[in-house]
Amino acid sequence: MTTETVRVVKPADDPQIGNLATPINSSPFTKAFIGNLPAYRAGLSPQRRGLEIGMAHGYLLFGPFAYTSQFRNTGVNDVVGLIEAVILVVILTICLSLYASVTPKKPIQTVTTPNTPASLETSEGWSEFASTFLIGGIGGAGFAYLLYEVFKSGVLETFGNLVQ
Amino acid sequence: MIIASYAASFLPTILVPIIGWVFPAVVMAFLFIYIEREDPSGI
Repeated sequence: MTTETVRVVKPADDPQIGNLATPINSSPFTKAFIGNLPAYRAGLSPQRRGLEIGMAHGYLLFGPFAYTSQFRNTGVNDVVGLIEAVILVVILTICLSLYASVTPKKPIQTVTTPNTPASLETSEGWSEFASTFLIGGIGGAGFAYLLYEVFKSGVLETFGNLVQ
Repeated sequence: MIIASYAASFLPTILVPIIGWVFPAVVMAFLFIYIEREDPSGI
């Protein structure tokens, strides 16, 4: 009984170059997922990319700072979480604009991301990205803080009595 | 965090963060720009 083996790993383009296309880096799911991330999604301006990426990072940074900062067990843990998240977003923005200042090279094209955004090959593109990253980051952290306040206030507990 | 008894004991509170945060940030920023510079002196 011969089992016919399916070759899932193939050379990316030139077999002599050690670059393989595997189900991890080039399956339709991976390509769709990575390709639709704000960094790679086609047709977005650098501002739009920075905004979405900033919002995601601002939102995710609030939690760890609110729950694990030195003020976690005090009454101000939420405000401190917000302030620390915003400070980190500002530091990240400084790093992004530092990167923008050194004439960035073309984003690396891989098997997963064959076409990278053209606007992220220039300094202007990256500085626009960095400026809206700041806005998105602060907005995301602020939104997370507001959500935290709403849940902490207990207004949603009135829905508990629907379960009897 | 007790302020020590030696003179100008407020200084460590200022200088330690400067050496620990500001100094590394400035040096890293400068070196990053320097190593990524295209053509510092015609090499």
